[in-house]
Amino acid sequence: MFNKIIRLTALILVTSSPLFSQDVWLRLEVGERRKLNITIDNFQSILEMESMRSTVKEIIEKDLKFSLYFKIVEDAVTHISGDITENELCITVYEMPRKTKIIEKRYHLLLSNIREACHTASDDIIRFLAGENGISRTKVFFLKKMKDDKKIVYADYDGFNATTLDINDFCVSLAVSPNCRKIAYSAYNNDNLYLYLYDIETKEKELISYKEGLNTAPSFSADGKRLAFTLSKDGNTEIYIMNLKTKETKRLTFNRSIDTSPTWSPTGREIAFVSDRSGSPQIYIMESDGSGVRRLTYNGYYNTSPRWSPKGDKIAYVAMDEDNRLNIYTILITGEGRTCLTFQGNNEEPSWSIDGLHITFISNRNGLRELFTMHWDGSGQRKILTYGGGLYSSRWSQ
Amino acid sequence: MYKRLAYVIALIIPLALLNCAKKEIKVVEEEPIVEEIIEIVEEEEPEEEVKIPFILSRIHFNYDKYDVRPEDAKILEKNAEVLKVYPDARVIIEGHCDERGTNEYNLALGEKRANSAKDYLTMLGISKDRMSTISYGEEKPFDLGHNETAWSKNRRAEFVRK
Repeated sequence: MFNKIIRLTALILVTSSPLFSQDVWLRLEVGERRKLNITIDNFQSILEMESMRSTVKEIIEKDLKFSLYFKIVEDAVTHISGDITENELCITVYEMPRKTKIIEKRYHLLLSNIREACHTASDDIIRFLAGENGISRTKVFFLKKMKDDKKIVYADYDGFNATTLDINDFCVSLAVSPNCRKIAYSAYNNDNLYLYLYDIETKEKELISYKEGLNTAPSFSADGKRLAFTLSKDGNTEIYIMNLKTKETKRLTFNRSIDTSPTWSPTGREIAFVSDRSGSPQIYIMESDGSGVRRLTYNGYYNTSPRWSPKGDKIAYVAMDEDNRLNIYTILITGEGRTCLTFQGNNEEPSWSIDGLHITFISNRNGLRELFTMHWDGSGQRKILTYGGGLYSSRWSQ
Repeated sequence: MYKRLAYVIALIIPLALLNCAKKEIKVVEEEPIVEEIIEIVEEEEPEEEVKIPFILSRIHFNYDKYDVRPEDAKILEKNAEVLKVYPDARVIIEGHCDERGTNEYNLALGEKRANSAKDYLTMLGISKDRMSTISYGEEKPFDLGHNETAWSKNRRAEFVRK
């Protein structure tokens, strides 16, 4: 009940404030999320495909549960059934009591693409029933620490199919383009940290920024046309943006303190970033031409790693608490509604899924630095990947 | 009380006398030695300059800070002297951080530390063109431990000859 009142108050504050003209795209999230009840039937299979039957159902059920749009119950009106024939999965959605068929869709199913086929089916079900784009086929990118360097890896959102990119560089910072085709990353080269653009399909690597010192902290605008990043050639780190087509760059910050970690608002009109201009690292928001800088965070002495939610209303970031532990917080872009989402170990590198309902992050709560996901409110925290040398810089693709 | 004072005075007087005596002896003896040294220095001067080793010491920083501490300023002064003896040497100043904090911010912090050292050396007369900076953030710890002793060693700037 109190939760409801707080959220309603936050909504009223947002809508009545003059800041409403900025990037606000609010979902109406009053109280518990409304979920659609569904029942997932036992899937059918021909004898030859029997070994896949339980796996297929399991993947789809996990996707639908994770999406947060559904509550899986025994006797819902809406039912989902699956029928596996030779190299084919047929998904049917029907309604009780008369078994009225709503949708029927077929997917090519091979042992080699079983997870991909199931995730595609899950996203279709989500689109049909919830009217939203699912995230079952999105990837999570991160760095794994090797003996002497760090390599870029990507995996399905649930941690399966981890693939290391064939890049022979010591990578330290990365961003994934909105179409998930390109990666911007910085890597050490000749005692500088240069910025590269890598095409995942063609495996072509392009050096896009090679000023003296740091060329780092890349962030793609939501339309994929511009890249915000950090250069240190001016004597300290300053934020720049680059038009990726013309490679034209423009400097946005001008002062003697640290300015780094830019993140775009979904409309591309604003950029949030970290600066220690007040004496400690805090999060600020500016227009994407560098004007109208305002401070967002006032709690504590260490607030870094801002990531703007794809829905526009919130920013996730990392704060250091009094006991020197790092935790992930979210805050409305009005500065209200600061909420701590993690409570064990150190937690950093938050990155949103495109639907704004989930966050991936790195936590060392079990000792090693491992990859986790959680829901937007901090619930459902689960480890999805572990690697001996530790994982860094998690980024959720769109 | 008076007894103690008497003891002290009794101790001081002979000591003072001894001192005076020493000084007198020194003054007498020093002159020829100084002359000798000057002669030797004049002969070996070109060789001695080469003998000053090219060693630049690292400096350290406080947590989440990048200003040069007074005790480290002295180290930078020594480093500047070395760099003046080797006018052709170029150095890369590496900025490093401890493992706490977030990676991207630590990269920026390390860069600030390297630049603080560079600015201080510039102030001491070393040309900016001879120095470049790079930050390794928390990527290259000096001490692999996870405690304050290790962290204080890792918050540093290092000087590497190019």
